[in-house]
Amino acid sequence: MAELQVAELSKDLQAAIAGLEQSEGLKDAGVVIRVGDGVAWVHGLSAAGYSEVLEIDTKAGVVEAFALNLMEDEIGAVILGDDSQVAAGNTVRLKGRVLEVPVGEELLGRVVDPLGRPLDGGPAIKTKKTGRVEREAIGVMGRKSVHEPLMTGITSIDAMFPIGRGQRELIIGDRQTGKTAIVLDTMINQAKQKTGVVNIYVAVGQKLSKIARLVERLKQEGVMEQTIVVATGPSDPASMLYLAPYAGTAMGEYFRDNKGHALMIYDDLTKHAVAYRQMSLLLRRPPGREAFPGDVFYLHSRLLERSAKLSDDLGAGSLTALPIIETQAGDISAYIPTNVISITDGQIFMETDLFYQGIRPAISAGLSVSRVGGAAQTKAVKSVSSHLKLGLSQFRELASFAQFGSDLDEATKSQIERGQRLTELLKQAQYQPMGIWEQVASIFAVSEGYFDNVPAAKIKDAQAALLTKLWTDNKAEMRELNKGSEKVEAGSPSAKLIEKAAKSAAKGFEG
Amino acid sequence: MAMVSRRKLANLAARRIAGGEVKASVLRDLAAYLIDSGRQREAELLVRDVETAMLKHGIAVGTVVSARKLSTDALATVEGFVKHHYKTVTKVVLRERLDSSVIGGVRLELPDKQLDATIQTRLDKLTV
Repeated sequence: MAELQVAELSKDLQAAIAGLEQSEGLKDAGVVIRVGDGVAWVHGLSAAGYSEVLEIDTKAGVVEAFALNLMEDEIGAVILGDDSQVAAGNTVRLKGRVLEVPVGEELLGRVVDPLGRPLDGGPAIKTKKTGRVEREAIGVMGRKSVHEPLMTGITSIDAMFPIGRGQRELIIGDRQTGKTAIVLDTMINQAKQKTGVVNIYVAVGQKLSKIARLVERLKQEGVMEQTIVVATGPSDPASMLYLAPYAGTAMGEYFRDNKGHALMIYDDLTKHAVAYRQMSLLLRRPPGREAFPGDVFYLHSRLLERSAKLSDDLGAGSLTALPIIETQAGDISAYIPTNVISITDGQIFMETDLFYQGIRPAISAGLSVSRVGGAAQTKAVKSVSSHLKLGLSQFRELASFAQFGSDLDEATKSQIERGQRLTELLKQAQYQPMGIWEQVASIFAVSEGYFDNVPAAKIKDAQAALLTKLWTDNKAEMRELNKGSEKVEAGSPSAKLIEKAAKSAAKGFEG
Repeated sequence: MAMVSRRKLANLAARRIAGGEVKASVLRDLAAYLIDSGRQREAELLVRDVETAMLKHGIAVGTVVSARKLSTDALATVEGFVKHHYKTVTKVVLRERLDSSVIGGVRLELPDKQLDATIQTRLDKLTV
């Protein structure tokens, strides 16, 4: 019996050997020579490409990594996930493709990690397509100039620093100045105004409690159905933090390339640069300014260049980016802030002083800019806000002189008073983005002087009264105005309606 | 003194061995260089690199892992397979290693490639 078994086994073995050529064949293989801090050094695999996925055979199964350092004698690979299972001597194989993540509508409403795995306790995500995490940006001929507005619902932004679909607008400021609040309101506005824009919020190393709160709020506001959250926390490996913005962008590109519109929010790229610095130092790349590697500019430029407005030939889809950068003590001339400022098409600067003065959103009129400008503004908003930024900047300058208590002439006084009213008007509560008609009516009423007799402290009440009256009495006209295609200027039908309502609303609040 | 890469060292050693120099003398020189430059820890990796470089000179050095000792015929089949894959290889040197954990079949480990036809791997794939 035993002899028979041996003979059978021998026969099996012979068959296995004879069938070698029918098996998967010879595959490129290397070996882990050392590992630590999420980085594995691999000997062999001379055919590996940059960013190619490697499979490391460990006792607990296959662990994936991706090649980042291709050197003459070895490869530096960043491990995706738990590195505690990887040991020196483990066999490493090439997967034959660069990193890809699931993309598609199936991801809407889900919270996922940078590899597209669900984090929300929901069912497994089965998408029909995958998208490459690292992908070249669309070329010049595939693009169109930014011309469609992406309304944030925040009056001061839509009026003074309009954002267009396909634009990259940086949101920059110290911690706790309302940066995330702005992007959250923008996401809410997309659902409220039914713009059809898909939101992709990428949390890079954000506290998990903050992400949970944000997701909860998005659910409450009914925005989650058109939102994908790519979440990484502070305890995740640097590799995951590094990948998160690229993975999120791959998910956004799916909508852009299928004639849709998506809004990318990177919260925040400072932490992203720090994660990349950690990886680079562990990969023994030479440190440069602030210990960042030499290619930290390319890290962000190649990411943000993927946001674009596509040409009509390519379906006219768009990918808009709102990257966030956290500054230290308002220093916008630090390394990463200046890099990202130079990459983006403008920035919204949040000022700590304004925030603590109660001016929220604490947007600095002087330091903020949108390089796309009026091209991405609706006719209606453009017609009422052309002098808003200049007026507000002049007011802040005059107001600082007025502090000395010197006697002021009537013209200066009235300019300061108008500025105070404007400042009050532009204050906006969180989670309450405004539609076009609300923005236009409010700005028109103040800038045309209908609220000149209303004390600054009562401007918000007068504004509420004006909007209520307009909506109650002229629903159809306001719906039409909300399309934004009509100019609002002295003598136009909408202007007459607003004038009438503003005069009536102001009466109740005159001081 | 600039550090010479392992690959360059390995190519040099492979050329000398393939050229007919006595192996012991080549290895002695390599060992002396590694000690002199304080790179003794790279010895094992250098051997792997030399094995890789030998492929260019028509010599394939590999390891066959199996659960039980392979017959001469089986080894000859493996040798034939290597020659079939690397057209320029004229000489195949196979080391045998027994490892009961592979259960059955063979795993052929060449310097830069691997063929895994073990039962263990197939079972692992089944469980995935």
